[in-house]
Amino acid sequence: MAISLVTPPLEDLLARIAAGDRKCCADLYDRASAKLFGVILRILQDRALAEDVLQECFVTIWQKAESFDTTRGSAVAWMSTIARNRAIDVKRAAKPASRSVEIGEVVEDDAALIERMPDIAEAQALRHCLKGLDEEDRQMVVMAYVAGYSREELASRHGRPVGTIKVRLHRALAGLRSCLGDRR
Amino acid sequence: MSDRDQRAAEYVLGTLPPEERAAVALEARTNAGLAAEIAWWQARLSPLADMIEPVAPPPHLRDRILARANMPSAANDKVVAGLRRRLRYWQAGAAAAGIAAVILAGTMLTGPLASFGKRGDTYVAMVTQDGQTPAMLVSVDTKSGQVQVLPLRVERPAGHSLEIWYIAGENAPRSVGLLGDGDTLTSLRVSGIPLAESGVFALTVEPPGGSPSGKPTGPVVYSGTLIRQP
Repeated sequence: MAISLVTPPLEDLLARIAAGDRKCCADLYDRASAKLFGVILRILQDRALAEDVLQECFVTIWQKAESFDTTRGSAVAWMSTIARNRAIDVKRAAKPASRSVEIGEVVEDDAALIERMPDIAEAQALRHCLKGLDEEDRQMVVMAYVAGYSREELASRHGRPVGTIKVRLHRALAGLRSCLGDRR
Repeated sequence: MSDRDQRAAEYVLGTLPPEERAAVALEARTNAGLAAEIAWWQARLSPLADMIEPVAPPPHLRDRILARANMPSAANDKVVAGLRRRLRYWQAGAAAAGIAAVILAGTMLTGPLASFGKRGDTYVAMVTQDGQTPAMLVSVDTKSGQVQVLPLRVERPAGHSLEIWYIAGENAPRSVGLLGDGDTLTSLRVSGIPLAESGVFALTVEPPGGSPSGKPTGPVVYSGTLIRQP
């Protein structure tokens, strides 16, 4: 008798949860919670808040599992998007006082971050296109995505007016858009 | 890049001001082109999320979160406690007039909404978007099947109707009717299925005039669970 030790892909867990198999919720939590908590904490920089958001995210993921579409990306990407979106919403709604704490707290070399991306085709394309941007533009895009910085926070970090940030972000995103190609 | 693409890109990046961000999220529910732009950017930028270091959440969180896995429609649980509190105020009658900032206070004590304050077989649901600011209040009389709907802050996507559905347990959603244009109280009726605690009211985006098939076809934009009026 063959015994399979293969762990089911996260995509399968989502499908089973969508079909009503609640036992899979624990499996999904055990395998995805650290990833999602990392994403949320990086943006919120506040553990108590991040714990609440993690809870909301799992409830959302379990409820919306049936809307997950394997043709549009991986389960991890789908769940990370939910986590990022919620964390950013919460961060924007938070009082400015709690926001100022984290400015400057996480200073990481965005170039090093880019190099850490996994060697899959999508990451290679993004890395290539990010490297093609003006250095400061690239920093803005990466830190907005990873740390959830608002235009105002980017302005403060880069010592530039908010209007300039807006223009630079537009320029950077347009550059990424044409580099990444219109492959829809 | 088109303006639409620009907004989609910044939405995904997270740098839109909160009001614009909310507007894009709402529009994407009904605008397939915008939704496709957003999906494109999400897919292209998602490798950036892969390099964020995982952080193990504290062990105690596991039980707390998994406890939610078996709850039906947990979306607005957190507002239920607040709603119960408010209802107690409303029932205090005159005291309700003193609640500052309660959107309803003005209309509560006059007109047909006074039934929100009656005891008996009345259940209420606060219908929200993902547990956030209340968008609509629903009060039902389980004996008569009468449903009263009060829109508070419902955003109506242009060129579409919002259809109200009642979902009891595992049963198929039952259309209750279309949401009217104004923010006035509407009385509707549900027949054929019992209205009971834990039933869910949901609003979906449908073609003008409502779903042609009798089943929800568009995304759920608001939902809320019935609770017994305390």
